[in-house]
Amino acid sequence: MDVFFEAIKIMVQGMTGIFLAISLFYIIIKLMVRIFPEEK
Amino acid sequence: MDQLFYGLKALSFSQIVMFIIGGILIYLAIKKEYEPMLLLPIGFGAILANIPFSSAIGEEGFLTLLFKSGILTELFPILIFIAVGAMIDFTPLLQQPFMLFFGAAAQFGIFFTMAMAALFGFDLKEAASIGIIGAADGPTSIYVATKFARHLLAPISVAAYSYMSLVPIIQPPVIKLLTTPAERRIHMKPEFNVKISRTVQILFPIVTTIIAGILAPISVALVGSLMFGNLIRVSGVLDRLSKAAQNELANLVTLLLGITIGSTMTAEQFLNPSTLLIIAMGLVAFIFDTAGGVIFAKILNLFLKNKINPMVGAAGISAFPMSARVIQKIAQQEDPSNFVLMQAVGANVAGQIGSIIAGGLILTLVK
Repeated sequence: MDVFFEAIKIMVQGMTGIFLAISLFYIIIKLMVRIFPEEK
Repeated sequence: MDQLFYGLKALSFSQIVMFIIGGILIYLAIKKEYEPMLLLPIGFGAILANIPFSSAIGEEGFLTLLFKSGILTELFPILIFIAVGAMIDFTPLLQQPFMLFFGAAAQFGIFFTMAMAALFGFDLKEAASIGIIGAADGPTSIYVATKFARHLLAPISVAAYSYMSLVPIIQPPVIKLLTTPAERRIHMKPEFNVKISRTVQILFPIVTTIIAGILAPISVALVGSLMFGNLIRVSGVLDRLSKAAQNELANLVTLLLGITIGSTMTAEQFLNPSTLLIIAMGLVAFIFDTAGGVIFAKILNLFLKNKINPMVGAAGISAFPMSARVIQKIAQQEDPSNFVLMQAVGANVAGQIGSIIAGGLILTLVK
């Protein structure tokens, strides 16, 4: 059962980590698109 | 005379079973066209490895040499990532970065399956390697399994590639179970009037590598090789290299990767109850990936004014472009005028980033 609870802990940390990293990418893409817009 | 029949005398029942399994994989590749580029070499590799006294494996066998130099060193998955990076067009994602979040949510199956595998008695590293089948990304599965559970590499690879090819069969029932017809008919506002400059396309792979690398240094090999391939593509000055990565490199490494993985499917390693359990767990991973994406979209819809078609969440898995096509097909079954393909493609590309981040996090978190 210890391994199971450790896996649950990693699940929480992992999903949090993915959403944090993705949020960071989201902000960066938004910034990049704003700073370097397509020239008309 | 004995020398002529010594191979036949040594042939065991379990080896014959492995010939049949290899044959089934070849059949699925040729007849059903399920990931033929991988299942065919894997199937033939399995046959080569199970012939008694096979000179293809063993200390000096060419497949053993390929395994040592291409898999144990993690070189093959890395080279595949360069090729995949050169094939990916991130534009749909850069146009609608919100889709990134579906690429995160649809990784839920990895961690859920990891917990399930732990419950079934696998140790943490084995459970993590089994869970990563849910990345729906063969090279990531191979990369993590090589690091954490080399002895499970064969069933994990076979499960990963088989389920990737079965996405059109696995996803629709899960999606239909979790959504109402009205939800499946939701039209999404297109966001394709956003033009992405070349500067952004070039900066994206560089910035992504730096950030992912700083957050999880162990993921640099995975993310870095994918983004290197993409940088070659978008640079606009390395057309020859980009085409070589997309064609020659991808084809050659895929060929060698498949047959080498197949060679690890020896009867003594493959024919045991844990293989069946791993294959069942792989299915669980794909189901919960799909469910994670759909449920996340439904939760978002509680707060959003412009509703999202929750099926798009299911495209957040890495199986590109199959998953996006599946979503579009279901959407048009419900409403022929509904066109969610580009949103689904954005989520699908996000899934490729999400799966690599998940792989990096698994490598970082599991000790």
